[in-house]
Parts: sequence; structure tokens; C-alpha cells
Amino acid sequence: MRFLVLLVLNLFLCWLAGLFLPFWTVAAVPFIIFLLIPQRPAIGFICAFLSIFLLWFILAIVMDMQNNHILSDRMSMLIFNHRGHILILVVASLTGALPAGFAGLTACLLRHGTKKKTIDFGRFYSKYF
Amino acid sequence: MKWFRVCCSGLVTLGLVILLSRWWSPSLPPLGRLFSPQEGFWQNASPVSEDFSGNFSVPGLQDSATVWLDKQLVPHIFARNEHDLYFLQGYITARFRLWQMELQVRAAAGRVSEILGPETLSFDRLQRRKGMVTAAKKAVAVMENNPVTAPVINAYTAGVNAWISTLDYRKLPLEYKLLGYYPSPWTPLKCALLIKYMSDMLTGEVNARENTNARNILSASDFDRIYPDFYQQQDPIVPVGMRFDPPVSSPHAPKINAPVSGFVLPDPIKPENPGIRNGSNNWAVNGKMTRSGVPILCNDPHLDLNLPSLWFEVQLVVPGMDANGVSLPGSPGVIIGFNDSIAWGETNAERDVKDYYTVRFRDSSRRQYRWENGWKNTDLHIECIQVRDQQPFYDTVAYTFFGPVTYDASFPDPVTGKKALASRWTGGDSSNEALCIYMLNHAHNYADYLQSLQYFDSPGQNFAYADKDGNIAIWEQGKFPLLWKGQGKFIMSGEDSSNMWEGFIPYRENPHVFNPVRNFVSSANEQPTDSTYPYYYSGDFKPYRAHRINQVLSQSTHITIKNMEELQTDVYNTFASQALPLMLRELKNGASGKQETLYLDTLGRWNLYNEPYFSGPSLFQLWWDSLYADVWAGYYRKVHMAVPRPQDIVTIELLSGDSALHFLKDIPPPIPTLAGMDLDAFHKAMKQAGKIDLAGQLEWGKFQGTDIMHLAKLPAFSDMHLFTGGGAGIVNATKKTHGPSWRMVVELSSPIRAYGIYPGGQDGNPGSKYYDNMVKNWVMGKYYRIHVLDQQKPGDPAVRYRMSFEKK
Repeated sequence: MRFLVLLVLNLFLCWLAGLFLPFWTVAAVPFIIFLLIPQRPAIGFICAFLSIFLLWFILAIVMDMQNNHILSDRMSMLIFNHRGHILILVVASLTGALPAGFAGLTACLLRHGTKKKTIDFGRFYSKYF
Repeated sequence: MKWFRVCCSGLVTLGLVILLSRWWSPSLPPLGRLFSPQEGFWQNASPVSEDFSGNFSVPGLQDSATVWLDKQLVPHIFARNEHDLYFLQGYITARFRLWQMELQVRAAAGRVSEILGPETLSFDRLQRRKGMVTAAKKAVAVMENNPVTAPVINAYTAGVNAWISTLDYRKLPLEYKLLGYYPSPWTPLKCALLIKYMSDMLTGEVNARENTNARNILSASDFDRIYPDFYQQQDPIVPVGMRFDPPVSSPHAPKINAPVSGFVLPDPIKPENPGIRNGSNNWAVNGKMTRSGVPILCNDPHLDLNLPSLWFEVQLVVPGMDANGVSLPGSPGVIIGFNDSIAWGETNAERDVKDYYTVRFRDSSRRQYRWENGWKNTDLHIECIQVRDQQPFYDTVAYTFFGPVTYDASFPDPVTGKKALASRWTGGDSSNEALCIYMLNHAHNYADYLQSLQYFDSPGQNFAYADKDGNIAIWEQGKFPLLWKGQGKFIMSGEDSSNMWEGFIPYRENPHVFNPVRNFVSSANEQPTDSTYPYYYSGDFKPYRAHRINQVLSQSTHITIKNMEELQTDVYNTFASQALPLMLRELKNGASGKQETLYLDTLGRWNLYNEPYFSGPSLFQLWWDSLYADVWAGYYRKVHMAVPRPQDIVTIELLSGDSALHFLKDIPPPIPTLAGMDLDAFHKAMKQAGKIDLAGQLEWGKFQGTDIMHLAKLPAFSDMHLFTGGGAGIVNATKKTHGPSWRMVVELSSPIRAYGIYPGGQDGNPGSKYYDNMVKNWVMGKYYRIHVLDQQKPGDPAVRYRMSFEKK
């Protein structure tokens, strides 16, 4: 449950930040979130990675479907010399997800072991769900 | 341990972010930003069901205005005043074509290296050294000082800038994101640069330097046989037999008039064949020839085929004007089209309006040059060329009395070697072509048309004309120098005034035809007149399309729009009709082996039409190319430098009249007789054909085919391997990368009925379904109705989207 909440929180805040700020928010947002709400490093990585992967994948596939894959086909030819839209959708989403995952991991590692001294935001929120 | 892991993970994160945010090479944009769906390329994926309708308030408009878009996304702009009309033309054109508009003027001005890096530096230097910006500055001064064109240019500029100001990174055209730069504000100078871009494209390449190389090898009489001013068979724009007035002035050649010779070539230069030159067809038939009893005008300009397309279709409506047709993105008004009274269309005049002069600098500083037994100061322009990721490159261009010194020691001429050459070009003079276009768009009759043409100096064009009163006409319009016979054919000495132009042919003396007895006018880049025209000119004329068009038109009656579409897409190979019988006759029965017999049989049965699914045209082309190479092999070996490619028509005329090949007596060909060469060429060509056949590429549409390349040469954004018919010298002049860039047929009935198509789409965005939506039908020779919309009929089913504009 907590994982899901963090996932949605990451996804939403990244989307919000992305409206105003450039690409690097995909790393900055998970880093701040997991600094404030530390998790086990593996969880931090997976959660951040998945949230940005989902965010980018969903945003892109919606635009791609509305576009009848015209542009994704051309961009895929341009970059991978491969016709089709799946590969570029996945690679593009990974481009956002990887730095996000490592940013989440870094934040969790930073807080690893110092957990007891701080307020456990995760537990705090978990009361409500 | 903890800190080690934190550091590792932190470094990986930081590394990834940096890796994905940086330019690693000019061809690899930062992938993080490019791939982000919130700002990257996904933002350019226009929804296929995008609704363009809406209410927009745009600062800069003076009144409200309406723009309707039809099914092809052609904007129909209805404005209450001319300011708003041209403002919105700029605004809407930029909305769909901004990147292309900017790139074209960037190319004209020699500012490509700024975005592409050092590879294009020599291109930029050449553009600067041709004096493109200097010419555009002169033109913009004239435009800005003219009470008619100044408001037009300024309104258009403001419109483009109004669109640019709405852009942020996510809304930028995709190419900016891929190449990593931002649009800069539009200026009136850029409108002038676009005109110079066209001028340079259509008149900037001349043969004087190559001719000089050839003349240094050939005797005067041999030169004239290989490169004649007039072909034996001619079908000029002004029909043979029409009388010309005596000349107002006939310049005389100076006493000493030998072509400049003695070029020292430090390195042997590979003979080069200049690429395919641009061409076009236009014609108009009067009511006596048509079923409807009213004139029909047709035009198809042949230019480099690119995506986004060179043309942008518009309808411009304002009280007093209703102009339809195609515009050039970056230039206000309609270039080829019609209004409610007249129709017009252009082909290139192909006349030589650029001459080269040798310049003798006093020393390497280039501050002074030899002039009339003394020294004259040059005007030195320092050009700063910005180069991406590098220090700017500074080039000094010397301007002489004649014009800019294009080639000198620091930028040697690849054709002739290391002499300094200045160019004198009519495109470098001040003129106001925008005024001609403005007046033509507003013209109601023949007098208005004539009045407007006098402002069109460069590039010289054949303006076909037809009106609702039933008149047809054609004028070869441009600023053409008064020349003595042969002047400018070779590089001339620029050390005194004896070789300079004495003036210009008066406009009223330009070749023209008005309501001729043959009931039609036409032009297809052939010579404009026969040799009785009292003024000397030379140029790069092409005879075959004109032959075919005139032949078909003179045999036609009860012509319909459909017939004219068929003529524009006609693929009859006139050249083959002349060459193939000769080649077959000389071959006798020389085919040996099963495959050669089969191919010879195919050729014998070929009906001379270059249809895409025939292999006859490919076999003929292979054979002719091989024979041509054999015929001229000795010549090319002898000259061993860049010379003009002897024309096919000259080659075949020489071969038909002289099978013993006496014309090559000083230049022994490898095989002495025509029959011998023909057989040798046949064997070589058929062997090659066998290989091509094996690869399944022998059908003409695959053998030649057409590639419409994206302007940045990205194959992924291009339409490749199109199965097209036609070819060089054919009315449907579709070639590999060049061809009919716009086809238009206009019937001057009431209301006017018009059809057109171009190989592209209205939206320049590769992520739009309107990017190349017309290409398929263009390949098949189909047309779209050109909708002439009426604001009083908002229910017209052709209206797809409605945009309302308010001033802010």
C-alpha cells in the first residue's frame, strides 16, 4: 500500500514539476521524496523507476495513439533505423526511469541507517490508508 | 561503506542526468529532453483528429479576421484590410512552416554552419562570396522605400514574429529540438533573402567558367558545334516567323576579344557534369481551343523536391483582391495562381545573367585591383561566419566595380584554378520583385499584368497569362543585359571597361506573345526566340518538353481540364523518339545471346512512354548513357577538367548528321565509327541491365524513381523510393530528386475552376498527417480542387476548420 502511495506521489509530483521545469525533475523529485520519506534502497529504486516509467509511458502512448504512430515511427527510423512505435516508447520511458530510479536509490541510501532519528513519514501516512 | 554506496549511486544518478542533458555531437541531441513526453518530440505528435478551429486574439492585428482551413489544410484568409491580410499570411505560414522558412533564408545568407558545424563552412563562404546578403540588403532598401511594398513586408514580418512569440520549447518545431537552436525574429531582410535564394537557385549557376576550360582546348568552330547557341531543331516561345522590332541598341565587341586563357591548374581537376538544372512548363490555351470556350492556364514548376515542400497553398481575400494559388514560405502574396479575373504561372527563362571577370589584385591584401592602366580600390567586406562548437570564421570578400570577388587565392575556384574572379549578376542589383507579385495578385486585365511585370528583374521568368476576357499571353520578363555576340559566354578580363555590360534590354523588347494565331502560348525552358531576335543572349535551354507540349496542343481541340492534367503528366519521351531509331538502326542485328535478344525485343516494342512499370525506358537510358560516355570519352580525357556537359540534343544531332564522327576528328574516340560505338555501348548497357534486372530494379519507377528528401537530409523524414514515371526532357519531368513541385490547371470560367497538387503537405511538421499527405496522389498524377471560398458562404462543405482572429 505504502509502495503504491509513494508511486502515485512520485508520478503526480513529477508530472506537476514537468509542466514548468525541464527533464532533470525526473531525478530531483524522487530524490527529495525519498529523502523525506526514506525506504529500503531496493524499494526506493523500484518505486521511483516504475513511477517515472509509467508516467512517461502513459503520457507518450496517449499522444502516440492520437497521432496514429506517425511521429514515433519516423523517430524510431531516425534513431534506431527500425520501423515501429513500441521500441521508441520503451526506450524513451527508460530514459526517464533510469535516472529517477538511481535518484531514489541515492536518497534512500543516504538515509539508510539514520532512519530512527527522523520522523517516519511513511508510517505517518500509512495510518490513513 | 554506506558513504561509498551513496557516492556510487549518487554519481550514477548525476552521470545519467548529465549524459542525457548534454550535446555529445551535433547530430545527437540531449536525449532526456528529447524523449520527455512533457517537452520533447512527443509534443510534436499532432493528433490526427486535431481541431484547428477556435478564437484567437493576436496582438498586432488591426481588426478582426477569419481564416478557414479546408481538407488539405489550405488557409483561406479573409481580412478587412491589407495589413491584417499579410500579417495573417505571415502568422499562418509560420504556424505550419517556420523551420523551413528560417532554414531557407539561413542557406541564402550563408549561416548554416551556425547550426550544423564546420562541414558546411565552404557552402557558407560561397554564399557570402556570391554577395547574397549584400544583394538582399539592396533589395530590402527598395522594398522599404516603396509605399506599396513597405507595409506589406512589415505586416508579414510582424505576423511571423507574432507566431514566434507564442512558442516555448515544447511547441518548437521538431527540427529545432533535433538540431538544438531557437528561431530568431523574422525581419524584412529575410523576405528579401528568400527572393535572392530563388534568384540564385534559378540564375546563379552559369557555364562561363566551364566554357572557358572547354574553349582552351577546342577551336572556336568546334566549340560552337559542341555548345551551339541555337539548336538545329527549334520550337521557341515566340513562334518562328514572328517579326521583331529593330534593336534600340546593338553593342559591339571590343577589338581584342579572345577568351581569357592560360589558367594554371595546379592539380588535375576531375571532369564534372553539372547537375540537373531547374526547369518548368507553362502554357495557356484560348477559348477557341477549349470545350468550355474560355481560356485554360497551366503551370508546373520543376524544382528540387523536398519536405517540407517549397510551396504553401493559400487563398488571400481582402476588399479589392481574391488571390489563390501557391506562395513561397517567407514571401508575402501568391507567386503562382489566379484571382477573380486573371491567372498566371512562371517558368524559368534560363537566360545567362551572370558573367565572370578576372581580377588582378595589386598584392595579397586585395585592397586594390587593376583598372584602366591604374589601380582602383576594392571595397572589403569582412564576413563573420559563426560555426557551431567552434570559433567564428572570418572571411574577407573584396567587391570590385563588377561585383563581389567570389573566387580568389583564399577561396580558389574548383573549376578554373586559382585566378581571382569577380561576378556581375543581375540578381545582385536592387529591384523590387515583391511589388510585381503584389500588383499581379491585384491585376484585373492584361494592362495590369504588363504594368506589374516591369518590376520583376530577377530571376528572369516566362510569365504565362490568361484572363476572363479571353486573352492569353506570355512574356519573358527579367532584367537582361545588352550583350555583344558571345559576351559573357567565357570569363572576361575585368581590367578595364571594355567588357562591361553596356546596359539592359528595354522591357518592352523582351520576347513576348499576345493572342497568337495558333491560339496557345507555351514555355518549357526552351530558347525564347529564333535567331532573328535582335539581341544576343545565351543560356541553358532545353528543347524537348516544348516540342511535345506544342505538338500536343497544336493537335488538340475541345480541350478540357482533364486533357490538360493529362498533358502535365504526359510521359512521352521525345528524345528517345529521336535517338532510339538511330541507335537501333546502327546496331543492325548486333544482339548476341538470349538476354540481349530479349532486351532488344523489349526496346523494339517499347512505345516510347516512360511509364513507371515499363522496363523499356530503363534499357534505353542505360544504352544511351553508355553510348554518350563512349562518344565523349576522348573529349573528356583530353580536357581533363570541368567542362559543360554536351547536351543530349547536340550529341544526337551530331551523330545523326555525321555517322563517321568527323566532329570528333581532333579528339579520337576509342572506337572510330558510330556503329562500332553503338554496339559496344549496347553490350555494356545490357550487361548492366542484366544485373539490375536480377535485383528486380529494371522497371523505370524503380530504376529511376523519386526520393523526396527532408530539407535536413534525414531519410526517416523523407518519402523514398516513389514509383514515378516521366524523366528529364519529358513533360512530366519527374526525376530522382527533382520534378514538378506544383501542378496547376486553371479554367477561367465564372466562377473559376482550378485544380492543383504538390508533392508534400501543408504542415511542415513530420509528426503531422498533413506533412506528406498529397505525395501519393501526386505520384499517381491526381489533382485536388483548389477551393475558392467565399466568406458570404460559411456553409461551404469545403470548410473544415474555422479560426476567428481578434485584435488584442
